[in-house]
Amino acid sequence: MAAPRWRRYLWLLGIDIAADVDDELRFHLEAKRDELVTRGLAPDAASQEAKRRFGDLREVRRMCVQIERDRVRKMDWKARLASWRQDTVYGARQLRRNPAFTLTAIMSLALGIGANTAIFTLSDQILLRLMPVERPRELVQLRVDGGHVGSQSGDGVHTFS
Amino acid sequence: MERSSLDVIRGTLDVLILKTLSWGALHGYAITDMIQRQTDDAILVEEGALYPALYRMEAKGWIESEWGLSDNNRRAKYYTLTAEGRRQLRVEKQTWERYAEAVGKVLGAVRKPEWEKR
Repeated sequence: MAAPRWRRYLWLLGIDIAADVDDELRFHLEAKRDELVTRGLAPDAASQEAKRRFGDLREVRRMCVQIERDRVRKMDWKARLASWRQDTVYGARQLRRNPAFTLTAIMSLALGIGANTAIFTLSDQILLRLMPVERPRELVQLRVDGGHVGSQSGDGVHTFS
Repeated sequence: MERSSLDVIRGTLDVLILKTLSWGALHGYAITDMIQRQTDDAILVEEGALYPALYRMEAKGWIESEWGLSDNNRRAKYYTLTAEGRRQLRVEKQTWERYAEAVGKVLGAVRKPEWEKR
């Protein structure tokens, strides 16, 4: 069954309900485990006890995802916009709290965008558009058959036509 | 209004959550912890049962959630009461108190009650 349209929009906006539910439940289990560890349990035993006390994790997860999907689906556009805006504000706050990471991310993006723009501009000028010479349509690209000069492959015969 | 026993249990957990959140914003684990401590582990034996209740209440508009950072810098979902939630808390608290009073009257009878025929 293809995903309904509204779910594809969610994917585009980076909202993943199942992942969020997983995050929330994992936080609970880890917090419980940590508490049990401070009370003297071994980490493995604490993890198991935390899971035991939680109950049916799969069922809880399934129910929460279902309820949340229904809730989001019933939301009107205003509520969804407010929700999205809230997530954006949270994201911005996080970026401000981690300047080193933010700077690295920005510079990586800038380098990537810059390099791509340069390459495509160059390709555009040389390959796609006409170059500023006298008879641009007579420009050809030469390629030598049989490998590079001095290489072991090929028969060493260079042909032009 | 007819309520099955499952509804009563679910409704009880709801009102406990509403009351717990009336003290301020909390994440799911903190809500569990507070309820368990206050009730001496009598309610919420299965901790996971809290989460579907939270999600249902958010769908009803009684609470709202926001992602934030916990004390130890982990990503956690914090819940707060809405105005609707506060109203619901007041109503449910009254209903519960009246219910408890009514049941108490019957259970607290020391001798078999007798009245004149109506």
